[in-house]
Amino acid sequence: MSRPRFSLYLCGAALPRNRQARKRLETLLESLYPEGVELRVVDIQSDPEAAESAGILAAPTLIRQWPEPVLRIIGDFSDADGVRNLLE
Amino acid sequence: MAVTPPDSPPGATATPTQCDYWLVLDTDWRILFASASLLERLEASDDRLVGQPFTALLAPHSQLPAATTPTGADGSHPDSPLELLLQDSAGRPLPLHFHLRALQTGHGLGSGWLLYTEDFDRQTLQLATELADLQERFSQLVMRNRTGLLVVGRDGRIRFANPAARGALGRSQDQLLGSEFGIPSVTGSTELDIVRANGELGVAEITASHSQWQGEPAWLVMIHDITERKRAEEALRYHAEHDALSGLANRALLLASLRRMLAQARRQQQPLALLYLDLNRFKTINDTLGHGIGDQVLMEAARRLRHCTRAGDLLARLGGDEFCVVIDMPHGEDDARAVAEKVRRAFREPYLVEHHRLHAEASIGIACHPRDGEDAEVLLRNADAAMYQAKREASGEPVFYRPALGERSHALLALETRLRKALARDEMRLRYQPVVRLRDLRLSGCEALLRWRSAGGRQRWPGQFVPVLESMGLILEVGDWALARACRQLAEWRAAGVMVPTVAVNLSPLQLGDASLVERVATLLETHDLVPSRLVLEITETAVMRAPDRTRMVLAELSRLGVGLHLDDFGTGHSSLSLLSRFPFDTLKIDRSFVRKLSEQPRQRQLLQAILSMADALGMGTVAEGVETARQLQILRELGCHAVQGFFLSRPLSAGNLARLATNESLAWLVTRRQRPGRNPAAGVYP
Repeated sequence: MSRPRFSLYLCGAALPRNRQARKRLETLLESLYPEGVELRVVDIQSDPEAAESAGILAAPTLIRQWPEPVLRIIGDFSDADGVRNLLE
Repeated sequence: MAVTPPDSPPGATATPTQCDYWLVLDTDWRILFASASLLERLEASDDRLVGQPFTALLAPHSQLPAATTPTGADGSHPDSPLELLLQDSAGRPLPLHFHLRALQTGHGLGSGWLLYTEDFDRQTLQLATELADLQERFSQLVMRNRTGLLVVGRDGRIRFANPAARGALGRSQDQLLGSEFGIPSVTGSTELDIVRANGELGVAEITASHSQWQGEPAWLVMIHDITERKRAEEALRYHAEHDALSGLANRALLLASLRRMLAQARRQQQPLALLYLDLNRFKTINDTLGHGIGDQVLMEAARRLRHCTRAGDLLARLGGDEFCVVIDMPHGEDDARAVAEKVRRAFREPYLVEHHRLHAEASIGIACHPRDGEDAEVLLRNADAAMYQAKREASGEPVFYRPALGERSHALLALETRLRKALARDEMRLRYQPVVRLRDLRLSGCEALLRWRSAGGRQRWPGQFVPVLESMGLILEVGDWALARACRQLAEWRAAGVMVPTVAVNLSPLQLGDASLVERVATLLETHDLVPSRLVLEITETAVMRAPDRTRMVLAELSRLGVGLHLDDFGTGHSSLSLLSRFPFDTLKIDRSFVRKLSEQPRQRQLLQAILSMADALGMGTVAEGVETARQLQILRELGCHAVQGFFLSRPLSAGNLARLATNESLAWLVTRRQRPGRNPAAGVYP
């Protein structure tokens, strides 16, 4: 069975607030999926086409490609419970 | 409320039934409201209909009669009857007999249309008009709000976007409605990046709250576009953290970034190196050519530094001519050595600024983390100490910090600190000691001597601070300053009509080793339009012997320029007479220690006699230094020494006093006045 697949779109992966958001997300994903996930991180600054084709309006945006349903979450993941409820 | 309900309700005679279908449309005939009964009849949901053009409800091939096309808000079609063929969601036709009434609100901002069936009662009409008005007020509030408002459904798709939201997201209504925004996960107000349709990036503050939209749970997302504010903040921060001239980080940002890099280096056990650079004698450039030229040199230096380093390296200007580079060293100290060597080579190239060819080589000190310091301040201080050692060594080689560099005495440190500021504070002075020709007792020239009066007010002799200047490498700057000052003085005397035959300036060994010395001297002569032979450079035996081959080359070039060359302090060093013939010196200066012993030791007289004869044979002039007594003067005259200087004749004088002395045809009075008994030979009286 393949692992859950996520894409995280960020604008400037090195910016402190983005690093924080990513860290929060990774912590959350670890607790939700102890078996691990595939997390692809896309920096919109270096790959604007990827953001465009995914129809990203704002960042950070997390897309869960699998398992279905495909989900899209926007924000800094500071609302951990909200995200957990969505993903569970 | 300014909506005027019709005086007599249409269809008032009909009893209200479940068939009281009605719709409120905006001026563009888009659906604002549909009655629940109509929605039910059409098997359509509210959120599918709202915002849609009314024509979407019409069955295929069915059209609005021409007379009902919107003509404005003037109520020109009051209660026009209208036969329309609608269709439900399954495509089943639904013929309805509507009345059309123009709705006019009191705001003058817009209007709408009310479509209602025969069975519409007065009460419902009242409700409809009130709703239309409310809708308009709400619309005005929402649509004109500068805060972007989005309604995002549970599925993350956009249900509604006001113009400000469209502006912030850089997309049209059509692009936004139904598109996926994402389910908001923010607490309070959160900064998010915005990706506009044209690829531009912006920043917005976003808040999200649970709400309802047409009966369904939804998020109300408020978007406050702060792109401009962020840009302004960034510009301010940039200004606060960067050096405006070079565009490099300033000291504050360097320290902050260095702390971060050190924390990371500790985690990853990756060594770091801090290179501390200082441009040799930058101050001279600033002082002689002005800050405009100096600034251009600094900008060019920053450019070279960028060129020598990688994109990830941290570059900073610490103020003045001091720069810093922080690099990580995956391969150990060789990495630091390689960068330092690259920088050194780049800085060896002359700077071409407004027709000037300027030299400002770099002295480089290196401190490595963790060996030479755990925190940013210690590392910076140790790299600074290493840089000063590099200056002292004057070989141009980068110097790695070692603990011994940090152990200089407190007093010396204090003196060094004051000396570093001495030039900037204009505490250095030149005094000019007359040299008198013995043949005719006329002024043959003078020697420029350095004096330093520090902030405390005490005047110091060169012996007290020149060795420290040399050990600090500062002698280059001070030496340059003295050279420039003396040349300017020659020009000033000339302008005042005073004839001072020559000014001799001392050159330190460090200056002799400086590749740009000859060019510097040539420039000064040219700048002040001086006859080259008016300028004399004094070089000690010790300095010559430090690098004889190189010195011979430099002296040959200086000699070609036409400046005078004196071999200074002769008799203190190697005293190799054979040396004299190999270097283009024109005059020998006999050291004071020689002169002092003259009257006591007959052997000294014979030695001096030999030296003077040799000098004569080589066609060199001779000057005896430190002449303090009449007896010494007498012996020197007998031995055939050409000229003398010393307290017996005169202390070093200010430029003004020397000028007054120079106006004397003969200086014989200097000798005779000192031969009167009872006078302290060290005290001077000047015209």
